[in-house]
Amino acid sequence: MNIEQELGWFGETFEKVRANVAQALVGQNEIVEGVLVSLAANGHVLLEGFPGLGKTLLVRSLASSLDLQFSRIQFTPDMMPADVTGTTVLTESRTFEFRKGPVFTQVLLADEINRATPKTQSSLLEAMQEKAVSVAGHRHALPDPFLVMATQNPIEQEGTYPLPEAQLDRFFFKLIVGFPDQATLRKIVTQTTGADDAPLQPVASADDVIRMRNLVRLTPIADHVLTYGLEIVSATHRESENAPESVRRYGRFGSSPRGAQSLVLAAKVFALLAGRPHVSKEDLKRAAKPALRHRILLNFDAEVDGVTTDQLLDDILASVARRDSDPVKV
Amino acid sequence: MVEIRRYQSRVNALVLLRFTLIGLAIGLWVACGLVLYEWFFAPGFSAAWGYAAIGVGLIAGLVVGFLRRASEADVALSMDRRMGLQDRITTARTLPLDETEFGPLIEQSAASALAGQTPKMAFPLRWTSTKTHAVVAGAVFVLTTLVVTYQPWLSNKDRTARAQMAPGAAKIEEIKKETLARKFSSPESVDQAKRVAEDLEKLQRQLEKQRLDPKEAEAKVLQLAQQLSDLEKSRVDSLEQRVEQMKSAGERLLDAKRQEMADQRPAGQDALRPDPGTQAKEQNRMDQLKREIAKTQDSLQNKNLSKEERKALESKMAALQKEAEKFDQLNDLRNESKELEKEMKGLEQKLDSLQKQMQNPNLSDQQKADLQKQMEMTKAQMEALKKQMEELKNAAQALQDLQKAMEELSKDENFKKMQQLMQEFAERAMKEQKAQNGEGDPPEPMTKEDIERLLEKVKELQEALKDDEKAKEILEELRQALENGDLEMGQGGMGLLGLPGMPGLMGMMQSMGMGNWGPSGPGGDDRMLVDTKKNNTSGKNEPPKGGTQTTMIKGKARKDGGPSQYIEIKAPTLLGARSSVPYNQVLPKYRQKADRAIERQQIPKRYQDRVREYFKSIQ
Repeated sequence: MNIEQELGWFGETFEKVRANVAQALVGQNEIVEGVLVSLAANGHVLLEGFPGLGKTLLVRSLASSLDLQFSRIQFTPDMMPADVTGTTVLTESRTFEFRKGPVFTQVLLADEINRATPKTQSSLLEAMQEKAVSVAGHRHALPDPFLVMATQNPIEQEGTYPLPEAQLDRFFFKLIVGFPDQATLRKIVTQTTGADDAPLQPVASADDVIRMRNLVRLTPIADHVLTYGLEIVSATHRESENAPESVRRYGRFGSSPRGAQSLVLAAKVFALLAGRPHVSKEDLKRAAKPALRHRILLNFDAEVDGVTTDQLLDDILASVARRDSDPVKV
Repeated sequence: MVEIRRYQSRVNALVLLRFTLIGLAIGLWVACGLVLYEWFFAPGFSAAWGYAAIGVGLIAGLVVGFLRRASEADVALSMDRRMGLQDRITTARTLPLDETEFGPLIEQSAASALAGQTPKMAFPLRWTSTKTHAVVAGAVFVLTTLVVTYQPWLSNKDRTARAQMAPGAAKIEEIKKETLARKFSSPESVDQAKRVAEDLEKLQRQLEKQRLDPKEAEAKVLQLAQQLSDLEKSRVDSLEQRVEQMKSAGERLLDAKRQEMADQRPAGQDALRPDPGTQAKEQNRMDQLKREIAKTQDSLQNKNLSKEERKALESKMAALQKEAEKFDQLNDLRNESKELEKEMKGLEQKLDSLQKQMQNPNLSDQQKADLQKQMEMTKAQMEALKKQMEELKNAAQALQDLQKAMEELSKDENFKKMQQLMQEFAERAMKEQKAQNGEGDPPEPMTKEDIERLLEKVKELQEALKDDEKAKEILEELRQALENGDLEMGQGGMGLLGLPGMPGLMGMMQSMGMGNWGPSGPGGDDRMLVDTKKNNTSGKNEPPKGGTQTTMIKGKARKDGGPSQYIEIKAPTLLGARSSVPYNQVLPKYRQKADRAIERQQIPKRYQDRVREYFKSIQ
């Protein structure tokens, strides 16, 4: 394997997919990149944003660009786990046959996941973690690659079941889909209210995704960079000596080790995207917010003061950067 | 491996520079502090300490800079940060590149990142806060030093006035040295002398650096003069007391023995007219003395004698000579007595003749009156002669008693040892005296071992003479003198009361136009500086007060030929301390002259006793 060529291929492929998705989805470049990074790192994405911002379009475009199967589940409170995973039915030949649910796909949009009951949520989250579904004593493997993009609406909390912390932790990234600025909005409106666009053509395949994932895993990270990443994760805990004052005041729980894994993997993807054969501290900083924002739990004071996890992460990054001062003073 | 040694060398040079500047800045601040400390609190504080602080700061900075050299890992990290290399250098240096397929690419990436870069670009010599700090510290130091040195706020008049006082600093230093050179018996006096010396040094520096205006200088000089006066007064008091004790104790012992001889003397015995038995005894003793003197002189010719043996012989010789002198003196008295007797007979004959003339009936009244007057005068002369003969008799008696006492004491081994000790001190004093008169080298200073040896001897004698109260007393005083170190000083011929450096101090005062401080200064007489009530400031002898006698001790002559100082110590002469062979050779001659002068009424009556006492004390 020629690493230099691989690196070049990685960047090109990534860029092709992004450009392809961008044809359908105007603006939201960061979200597209975040989703692609998660895909390359073999992680799932939680999207939080208002309705109508193109989340479904994003997933569909992504699936089309990668020539992957696509499913969508609109979660409702009356939805049962079997509606997600599938069920066993008695056939005319008096045998039981497993009917696959919508989870058996390569790209799954779990829309408004917080509207489902915890039981139903957990069935999906188990599938996300295990990459397999167990029904009636049989284990059914999910296709590879398997990417779940769950969405939740931040404003409508009535009749919802917010995802428990343990389940939030299973998402690789949490991306905040913001409202586009006027110029972007203009583009969106212009593009989507005219004649139907031609469907997107695939620019990569599932194999390419798997190849990208392998390359990510091989990317090295130096010890001092890893230490820097671990200091970031450790600073999310209020009891840590590295924690900044804001974390001590507003934090309740910090990131799990899975958060550290996500941070490093994401940083590796960013390094490859930059055409660099190793991870740098800048990559870690770039990955910190999407990888850790949903892993930090705030206390009541934070809610009262309107403090967000992104603000705490800004403080954490600043604090870690201060400690990582130039060792040479001349 | 990415090569970053050039960058490391650059970094180390900058680190060295940084710490050197930090050390220099600290040294400069400390030096500033010392300059201000010197200005406000300690004018005697040497400026060298300030420069030393700067030097130490500089060296310490260099050492720390050398020890704090940056490691390659630190340099790599710093390069990544400074050059925005996104951890390329550190990663290339820390990752085991052989174990990963990414290795060559990582190394290549790092190398290409460094292409076109130079150490100077990565670590430029920038104007940092450290450099600013060092420059500010240097500027403040220079400014402080200049301000303190030149005192820009002074007017030209003030400056001139202060400059005129500056030469006085040298004199103050001389005074300080003299004060420190003094020996004091009490620890309090030693401490006080040190304090005064410190104040003098402070004053010296203040004058040197023109820190004092004339009024301040005058006040300080007055204050120090008073302190010096008090100090010297206490010292002299203590010294006089010690010397007096030493001398009187020896004399008392001999007096006691002489009294014992007088008590044993048979009634009616006349020392001037010894009976044939006494004469024979005296003659025998005289012959014996001559033989012993000759024998001792022969022994002293022996060059193989040890130091101890020589001292013992010399001591013996001195005692023998002294006793022999007493015989000579006794004979002189007897001869004088015979002359007086002849004179008395002549007067008696003259009186008889006058009485016969008075019986002549042909004499006129006027002639009778003249004869009567002559008879009265003759009687008065006879009366005076009788009195003189009586005194002579007493003197001879006393001399005979003394001679017997010395003879008795000479047989006592312990007394001999004691005499030997005292002789040793006497010789030492003699040498010092000669040295001051330019007649030889001064004796070697007494070492601690010498003093311990003498103390040991004194203790031995104390043990041997524990039943003899007088001897015990003498030895105790000897011991104390040795322990206090006063003995050497008391006999060393130092200018005891010439207050240390006071002449110079007062001369300086006068030269500064600060009032009349007496005749000191150029051409002045230093002895008139301070009246300690012990100085003779008139140049004439004072009548003795109390039971003390007067001895003159010359002060040490100054090397620069300036006015010498002298004082009088009113204390008896140490027995034997000033007697020596040359001294004894001339003493009888002077003594006879003095006696004759007294007899002929050439010495005022009120001084006659004093002269007698003087010769008596130095016998």
